[in-house]
Amino acid sequence: MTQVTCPGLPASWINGWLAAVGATVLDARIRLHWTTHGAPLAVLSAAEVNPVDALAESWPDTALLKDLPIAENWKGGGKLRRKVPVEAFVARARAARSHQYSWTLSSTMTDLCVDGNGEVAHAPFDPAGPGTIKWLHHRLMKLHDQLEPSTERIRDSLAGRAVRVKDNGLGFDQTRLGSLADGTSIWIDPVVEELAFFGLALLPVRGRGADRRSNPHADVRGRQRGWRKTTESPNAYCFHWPAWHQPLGSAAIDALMDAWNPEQKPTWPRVGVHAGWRSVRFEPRGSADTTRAFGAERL
Amino acid sequence: MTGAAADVLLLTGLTREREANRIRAKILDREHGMDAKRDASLGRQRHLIVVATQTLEVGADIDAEYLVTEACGVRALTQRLGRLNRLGRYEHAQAVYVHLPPPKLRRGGKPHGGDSDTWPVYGSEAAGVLKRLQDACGDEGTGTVELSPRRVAEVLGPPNDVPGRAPEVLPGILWEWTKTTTPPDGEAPVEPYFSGIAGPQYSVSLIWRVHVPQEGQRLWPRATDREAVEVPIGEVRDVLGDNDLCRLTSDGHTVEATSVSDLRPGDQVILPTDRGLLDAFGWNPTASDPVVDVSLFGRGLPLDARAIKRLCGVGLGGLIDTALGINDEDEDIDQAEQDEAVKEILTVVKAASTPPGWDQSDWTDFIGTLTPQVVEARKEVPRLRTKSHSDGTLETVSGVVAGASVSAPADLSIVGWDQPSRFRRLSDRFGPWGLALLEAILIRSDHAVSAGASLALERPR
Repeated sequence: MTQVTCPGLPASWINGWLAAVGATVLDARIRLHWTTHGAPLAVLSAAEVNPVDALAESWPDTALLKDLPIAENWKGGGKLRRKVPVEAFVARARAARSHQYSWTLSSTMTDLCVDGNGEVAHAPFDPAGPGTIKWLHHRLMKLHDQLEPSTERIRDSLAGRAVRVKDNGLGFDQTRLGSLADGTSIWIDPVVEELAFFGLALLPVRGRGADRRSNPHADVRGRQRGWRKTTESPNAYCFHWPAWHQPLGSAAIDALMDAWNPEQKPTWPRVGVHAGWRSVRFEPRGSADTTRAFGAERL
Repeated sequence: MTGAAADVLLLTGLTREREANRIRAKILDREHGMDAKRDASLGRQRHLIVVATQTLEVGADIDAEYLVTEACGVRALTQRLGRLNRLGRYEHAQAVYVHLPPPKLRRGGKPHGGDSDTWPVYGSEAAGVLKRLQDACGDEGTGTVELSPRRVAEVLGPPNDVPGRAPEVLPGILWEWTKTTTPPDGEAPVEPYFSGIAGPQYSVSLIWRVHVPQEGQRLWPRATDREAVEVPIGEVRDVLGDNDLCRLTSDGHTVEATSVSDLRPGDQVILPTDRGLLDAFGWNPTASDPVVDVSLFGRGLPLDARAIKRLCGVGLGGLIDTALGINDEDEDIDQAEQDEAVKEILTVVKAASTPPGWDQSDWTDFIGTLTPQVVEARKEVPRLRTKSHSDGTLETVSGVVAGASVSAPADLSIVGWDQPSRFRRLSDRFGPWGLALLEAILIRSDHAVSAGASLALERPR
């Protein structure tokens, strides 16, 4: 068993947590747990291979990412951009049903919620953005192009010492934002962002089943797994995530996410959880501020 | 036929498993029921009238002599006619098709769907069915159509139902339903996938308990589907008015207070048994008799004064306090006094008459399993333990499957983190439906073995 502690993936950082989970999705040999000291860090482990080597081996190439069901052009169907008519989603979903990466559709948008324009709702981890931010697949390809994947590059990112690049990444990392006073550039780590994208595989988005075209008052907000209202935040959905101490593969992390109740702290040890956080939404500085980002608050 | 000469049964989907099983048993009774295998030459002492929704159409092998149906679609009418004179034994068999205008909605007074030719569930197809039946009647004015199995499809024609747009089932959504762990918080509702997104029937789950925990306490025993009735949320809101309610939080275990206006589809609401609203035929907004708490069977007795009062009508407040060592007067209650109080509670409960709604045998079994041992769990109601029966299961269960040795821990208190990936592999191999079938076979086998059956397995050819 080889294990690698990752100072670059602290559990308190949403994107770091998603990236660590994404590593287990990307390579089924990898297991994940978190250190138990004050600021838990990801620990990746694998039985017969170094997890960093495993990640380098499994790293998606451009052809694979271009063939994802959320790609702008896919299998000769219509274009899929930010505003997705329900008919376009349905066509993609039917074509993607047996595709290995069908989760890229179900974890980013849902036809259970359709707005007055007949467009499907997006997940909070698939936020809108202005101008060059465009849509999620576009962002993914852009950050992928900024990366020369290698064992060293991945190891540096996991260690938190990799050189960051100017980019918006997936569009919700709070650490990409610099000083709000002087409008400094935004920086992300493309390795972390790309891994975080694969972490979304465990977070499908759904809704109540409403179409505002037939019911103008219907609640058509999509609800992604892990986002919930609690007694401490009764008015807004926050993403809640845990840190656990037993090495888990993606299927076990999936089960733990169901079994873990952020509101029942005394029950956390029963499922091996020793810490938890909830998201804090970036407050826009004005009505014209379209910045989206999520910080963290420890539970 | 007079009312006195007939038994009348009602079967709808708004019924608990206990009541539904009893009704089905009567319907399928070989002597007095309408089982297709019933000897048609047997006379009847009393007629049997079954009033049912489509719940009865699903998989029931019944053979009726007469059928009365309201307006419906081609598929539903074909199904219903298939239950009439199923084996061709009743030459007098007849069906009456009652076509009434669509009902008005309760609020606003507009017809369903805003269209005067739109019926609930069947939409505009019901009008088409009537037209085809009328066409088949011809000009003879008898109002009768010959509808032998050979002619049904010819007369009714192809279905013309247009369901509302249903969302797409992607594997990521299906997986949330497939998993046998705790249901994911906020998982996709299944209703839109069945009835379309335009008009899904949202419901809440109602269960009846003698002990309703306070806010923050846990429900004991845990809620199960077997004790629940799914009722449309609008109907629950209408019936319960502005009353405060208790529902389960997302962990499916802890209780929180809520109001009727805050009810959400999928909520699990706990009603006290003396609230009524359920009778021998299921959900009944006018029923006021106490409801049987089926969760208690074989589980134990809550040591709570209100719960015991609801269950068997006796007041034991002081005795229960003593049994639990609670004393307002700062005097210590020793263990012997507590034990004595427990025994006295048990004696009083066992002496109580069978509670309303309970079968004598169920009640006898229930009180027969109670022991004078108190179980106290954090945040749960203290209760009297029931006698335990060892099933002989070892700590580890081993076997040989397809030539491979397999062993799995049988201690359910241990969290097995390999189980999710094993389940995932099984699901990938057999598919969700295949795995469900496999699980059903295993459960039936388990029940058969537990019941003492000896199984002989045949090697597949």
